[in-house]
Amino acid sequence: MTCSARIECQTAGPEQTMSLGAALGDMAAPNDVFGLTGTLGAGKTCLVKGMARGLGVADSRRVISPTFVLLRRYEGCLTLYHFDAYRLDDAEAMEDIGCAELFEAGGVSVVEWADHVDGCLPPEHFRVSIRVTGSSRRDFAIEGVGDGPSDRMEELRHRLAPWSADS
Amino acid sequence: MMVILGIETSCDETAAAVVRNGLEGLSSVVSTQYELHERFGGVVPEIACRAHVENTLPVVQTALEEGGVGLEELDAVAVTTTPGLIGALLIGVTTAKALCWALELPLLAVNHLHAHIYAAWLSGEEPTLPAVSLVVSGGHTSLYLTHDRLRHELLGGTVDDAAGEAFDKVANILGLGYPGGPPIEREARDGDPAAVDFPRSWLAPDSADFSFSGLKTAVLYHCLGQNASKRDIETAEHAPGFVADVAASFQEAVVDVLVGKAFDAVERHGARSLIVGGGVAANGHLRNRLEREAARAGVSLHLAPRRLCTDNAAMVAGIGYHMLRAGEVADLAVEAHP
Repeated sequence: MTCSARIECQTAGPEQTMSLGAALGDMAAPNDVFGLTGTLGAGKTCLVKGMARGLGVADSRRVISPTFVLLRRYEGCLTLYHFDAYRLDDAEAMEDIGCAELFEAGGVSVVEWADHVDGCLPPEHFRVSIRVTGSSRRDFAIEGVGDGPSDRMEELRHRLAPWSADS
Repeated sequence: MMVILGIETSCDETAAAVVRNGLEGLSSVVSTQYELHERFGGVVPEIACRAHVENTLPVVQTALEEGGVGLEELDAVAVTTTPGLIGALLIGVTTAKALCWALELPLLAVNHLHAHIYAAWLSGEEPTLPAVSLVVSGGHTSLYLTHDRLRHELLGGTVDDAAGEAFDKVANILGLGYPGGPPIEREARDGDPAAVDFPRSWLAPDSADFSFSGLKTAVLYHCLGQNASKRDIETAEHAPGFVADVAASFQEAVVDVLVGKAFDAVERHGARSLIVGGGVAANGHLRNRLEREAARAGVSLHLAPRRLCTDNAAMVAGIGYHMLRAGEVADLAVEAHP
């Protein structure tokens, strides 16, 4: 398994975080899996709202936290499976809700609190870590895990240039 | 006379109930995992689906026994088919279908949120219609215009976190355990609701939508600063007075928004009454504020009975009776929808 260099991005508020998410959603391909980490209030659900917009979900405003129900599903150009592992404490619990099957169902899967369920993500996935750096500022580190995602990092870097932390 | 078995497995709770004529509860059994949740510090140790498989038949059997009703006395089976966690819903739906097929009974496919609204009828009062209905729980915060028991038009809902989720997450920040509603209400009794001026999110002036994510984050920043990790949250220690003040101020902010938006909607739609259900509707402070505001505004208020606010199957069997009378019977091929 290879792990390519990270892409680092910054946003200054929920609107920008959603735009960054939209760019991620727009480049997402069938069976892509994104694991999100970051503390309470970091903006994980906000990023997924943007991803839904990028995936063409008609009413992405209605993308809401799946903490209580564990999984929500939205129809766009591709189906978005929005998992939330906040209330889970191991990969087995995640497998119980059928994640393995859904990861390969042709849609795009996003797992909030992915660090709670380490080991249930497929060998190839994208890892997005969010860090709070101010009341509305956030740092994003995006990594491709496995050959497929690693090979797409250059394209992704290009797409995410507007939010690049280096520019 | 019609006796209906209700089954509810949309999220954490496995529930079954027997209700006669839509109002008379013969039994209502809920198998909660709260003790387990609490012991594991707010995290579900064993996920809903597996627990539902183990719980459903014993819970159904207990509901029938406690109701003193045999399978042959049932007139229909009502089951929650949407919304919820698909794997969890499927277990209730499959059980209900199997019973209906074997006993040759009509199957009633119930919307979980409509059932929460129907819980207000189980108080024995008859709301004047049209009404505005607020369903406020761990997974939902939605306003409806209720035309009759079975017809609800969605006016708005949360755009991020549900109110109940905010209670759970703030309780976690304050080290109060899971579920968060009861301990926050308890702590808030000794606190000053004006101690911290937490933000109230009204969104657009006429919006029937809700947003509680910013409030949750504001509480976190107030308690632990901006860079708190999950581990910091788990290990933090707070002075008792501080916890009480934050709990009271947070609860006040949630209640202000829920009450404000609910009565705005009543006025905007010329509704005659306000119906409130869902787990958060068990909160005593919310109930008091709703009652005060209803008296002031001259609106008739219909709260779901406290024990029927959280997920249960009596509300499912109850609304099922009206679906049966209206001929809204489901095909045995009906599917669960997340």
